[in-house]
Amino acid sequence: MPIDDSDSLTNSMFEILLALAGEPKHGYAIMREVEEETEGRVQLPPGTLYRTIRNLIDLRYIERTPEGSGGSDARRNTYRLTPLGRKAASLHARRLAVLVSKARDRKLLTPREAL
Amino acid sequence: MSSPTHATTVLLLRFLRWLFPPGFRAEYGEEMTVAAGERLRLAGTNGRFASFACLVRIMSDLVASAALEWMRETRLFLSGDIKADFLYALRALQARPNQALFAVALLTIGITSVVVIAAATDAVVLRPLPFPDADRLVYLWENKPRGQRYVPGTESMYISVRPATMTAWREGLRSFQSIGGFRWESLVFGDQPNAQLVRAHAVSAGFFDTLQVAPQLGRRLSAADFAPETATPVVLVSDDFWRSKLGGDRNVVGKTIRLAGQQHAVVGVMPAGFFPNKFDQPSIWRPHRTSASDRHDRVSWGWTVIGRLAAGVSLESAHQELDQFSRSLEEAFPNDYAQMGGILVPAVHELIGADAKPLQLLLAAVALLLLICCANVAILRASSSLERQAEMAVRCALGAPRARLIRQLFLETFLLTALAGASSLLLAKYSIPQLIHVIPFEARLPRIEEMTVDPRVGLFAIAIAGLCAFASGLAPALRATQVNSQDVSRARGTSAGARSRELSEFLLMGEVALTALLLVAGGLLLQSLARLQRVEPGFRADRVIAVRLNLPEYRFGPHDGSGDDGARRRAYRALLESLAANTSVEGVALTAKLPLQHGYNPWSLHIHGRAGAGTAASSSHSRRLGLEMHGITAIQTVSADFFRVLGIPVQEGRSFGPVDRPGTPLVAIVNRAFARQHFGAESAVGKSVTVDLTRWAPRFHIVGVAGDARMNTLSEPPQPELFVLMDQVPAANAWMIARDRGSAGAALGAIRSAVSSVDPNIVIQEAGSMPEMIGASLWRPRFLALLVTLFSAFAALIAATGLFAAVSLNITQRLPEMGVRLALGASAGTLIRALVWRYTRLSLFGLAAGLVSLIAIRPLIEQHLYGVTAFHLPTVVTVVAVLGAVTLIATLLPAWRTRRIDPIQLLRGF
Repeated sequence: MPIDDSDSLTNSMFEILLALAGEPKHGYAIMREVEEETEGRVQLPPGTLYRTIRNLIDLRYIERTPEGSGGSDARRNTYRLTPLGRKAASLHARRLAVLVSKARDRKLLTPREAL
Repeated sequence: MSSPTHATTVLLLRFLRWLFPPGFRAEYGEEMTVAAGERLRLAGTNGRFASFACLVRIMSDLVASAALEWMRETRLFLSGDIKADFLYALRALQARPNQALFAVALLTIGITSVVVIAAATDAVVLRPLPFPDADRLVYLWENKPRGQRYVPGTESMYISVRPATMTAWREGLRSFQSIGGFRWESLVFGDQPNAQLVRAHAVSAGFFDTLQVAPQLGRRLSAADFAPETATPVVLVSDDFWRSKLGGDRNVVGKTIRLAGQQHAVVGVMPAGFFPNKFDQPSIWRPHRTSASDRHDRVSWGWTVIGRLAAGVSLESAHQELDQFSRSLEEAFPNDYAQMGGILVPAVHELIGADAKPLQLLLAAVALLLLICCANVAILRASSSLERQAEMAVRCALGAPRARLIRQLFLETFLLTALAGASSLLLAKYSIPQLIHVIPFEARLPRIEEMTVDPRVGLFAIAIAGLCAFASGLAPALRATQVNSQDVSRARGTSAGARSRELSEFLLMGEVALTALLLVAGGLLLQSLARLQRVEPGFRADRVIAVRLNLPEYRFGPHDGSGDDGARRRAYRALLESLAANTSVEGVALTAKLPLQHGYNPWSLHIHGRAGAGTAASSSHSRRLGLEMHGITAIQTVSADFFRVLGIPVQEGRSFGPVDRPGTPLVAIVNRAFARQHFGAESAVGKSVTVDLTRWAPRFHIVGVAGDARMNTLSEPPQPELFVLMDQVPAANAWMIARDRGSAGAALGAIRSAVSSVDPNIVIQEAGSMPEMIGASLWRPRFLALLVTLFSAFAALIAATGLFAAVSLNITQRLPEMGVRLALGASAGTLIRALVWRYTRLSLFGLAAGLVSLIAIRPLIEQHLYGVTAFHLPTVVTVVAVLGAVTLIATLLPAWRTRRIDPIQLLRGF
């Protein structure tokens, strides 16, 4: 599936892609990482989390790792970024970077935030 | 989170999983539940409130996600004929308007109850405290022994803080960004004769920096305001005080008011709702002028200390630092800090704490009620779909896919719940302001006035309504559409009919089980209330008036409790003398504390003539005396006639008499609990005890033993008390109690005139009749019992209608069979007996299930009970009898109809 040029990533999708940018993780670990990295501002409760994961799998941005890699707990799966997902995430990040630089130019950020 | 609660939560999560479409459930259900469980466990480490808030959030999310998934899966809103189905559903409801109205009414009752209690929980427990980053605020108390931790959910009862400790903490603890404290005081506002007493906080430096709330007018306190020698003392006032006493003057800053006989400049007005408090609202914040002696004052307990944790510091690591710090304090001052430590209580627990417990019980009760309503609506839906079997069979035969039929039936339930949800929201919104006023003042929880239907509660209501739609619509729709296209040939679908009947009987059993639970809970609370009301308080309160007197420091001098307090002694004596001669008063006495007032304040004591079996002295004072401590007691300062006025018998020895004067050896009367605990079989009379009051350690000679009176609460057994004489050791302030001789309230007038003639500077802080004050102490259990009983009565009524509907459904459906049996010679009586037996048996199964599940809610209910356990046999028997009677009536009424069945007519149509 080609990456849709119109930006189709929601915030929760992007957060999950970011959380998976490092290493493969299971659902709860994604939830915790998003919460910790945003200091609790963004929360992905389980229902929303797994619906978003399902959407990302449908888009082929992420995929399940092969069986048995869920660690000691067989009840959960581990997810990882696909090359397509990585591309989509970096495209989205670039778009955000352009927006941030615009905001900086128009003095919408305090000097500290603009760093 | 305790394990049984956790197990229940996991069960709940597993149940919610079933709301999702099968595909999604198979793919992600298990791991979703695991993740939710882990998230909850994590929240559980932050206490019960956090875990409860997390549970609510996860539940709403799961319900909303399930709904979105179903929409996606069924393409519900993409399908072109949804409009047609919608209109069809409306027409179907219109065809049975009574049933639709009844279902909406039931669901409205259920959803409104849940929304109102949820709104109360939101206001009292879940909403953050009105401080920035309130989760970093903690209360610091002194505590013994060192190293203890606060257990969430328990009432916090620790030792208030001494000035030297507070100063040491402020300067020494690195885990806190800032620390500040306050001490309650009562200040006289205005001049006599219109002076009033206002509640105030004397605050330390750092108090406002810790709370980080700015005044709405004027400025915060500056360092200069705390200096010992400033020209005019300054105060901040509360929003309420500013509006009611200062006329809401926007130019009030800079003006002066008269407090405690001195001019004070108002420097600011705090915003409304600032500093919510458990018991009392302060009107004034006054800087406590620090003096050099504060730094060394290790005897004046009484400060409440609040700290703001530094960013990123956890409660536990702050606690470890505090333990370490307390150890170094003990090394420096072994006499004052022997085994002493500190304990940290998160502000939200300190301010709300145990007050949330009744809400937990009420939430459980309304959840049960809602489930009962849903089960009942499901029974109604099942019976209505039974009447429409033929229609379903025809549509099925014409090629309608089953999913379409399910959607059709489900849409009808969805419309009902949507209507009920909307009316519940409106009802809750307009009834909540009224409800708040209905709650008796004494039964109110902190912040309950802030209860509203805000967007959060609104969303919760929508989620609950959605859950109801699933709970009461899905199963009947699935069952009713299991039609066999061959059924159409007979235009009477028996297979689906039997399934619908099974479903409704299963639901009925559940309904009876839940009703039994609620009825038992209501019955137990009533039982416990009756027991509380029957408790013998140990004193006579009839016709007794109690008046709280305040003897301001600016007139009577500081009170140091050491017994050397001439001005107060003279005032007390003059008051008693002037009233003793009054003919409208039967008896008059003074006491520092009224019976049944909360707060047991124990001190260590030494029993003279007893060697060994003691612990090390607790304060520097008794250490200097070289005394061993043998136990604890509370001290009550009373005047000589206290026992006579309240009818407390002096059972041994003598009462206080004219021989006990200032200057003669100090005497005391102990209560029975004291004598039992400290002397056992021996007589207490004639013994001497020394009580370590930190500042001084007086020795009392015990002259008598009085009967036990409940000095704290009705529900607690009497604790050891030592009564000492007001004339020998005057208290700072006192209650004056007097019994009316004739007309009610005459004593109050007599006390008022005596007070103004003795010294107009004495302020009457409050006055009331003691029977009313005792009644007020029972308002909370009374209100809780009332609400739960009301819910359980509703539940019983609803269960009765459910039974009625199920029996009617059974008869309608089995008419042909009954016709055959009647034609073959069975009597109507046999049929009725069979029907009644069938449903009584179902009810009994339900009842048994309900009583067994009592085990699960036992911890929840038992914390509200006094003198009964959850398995109180008479209550259980009563509930069985009530539900049995309800079952019989609700079954017999429709069953009676079978008498009118005409077998010939029936068989003709068969």
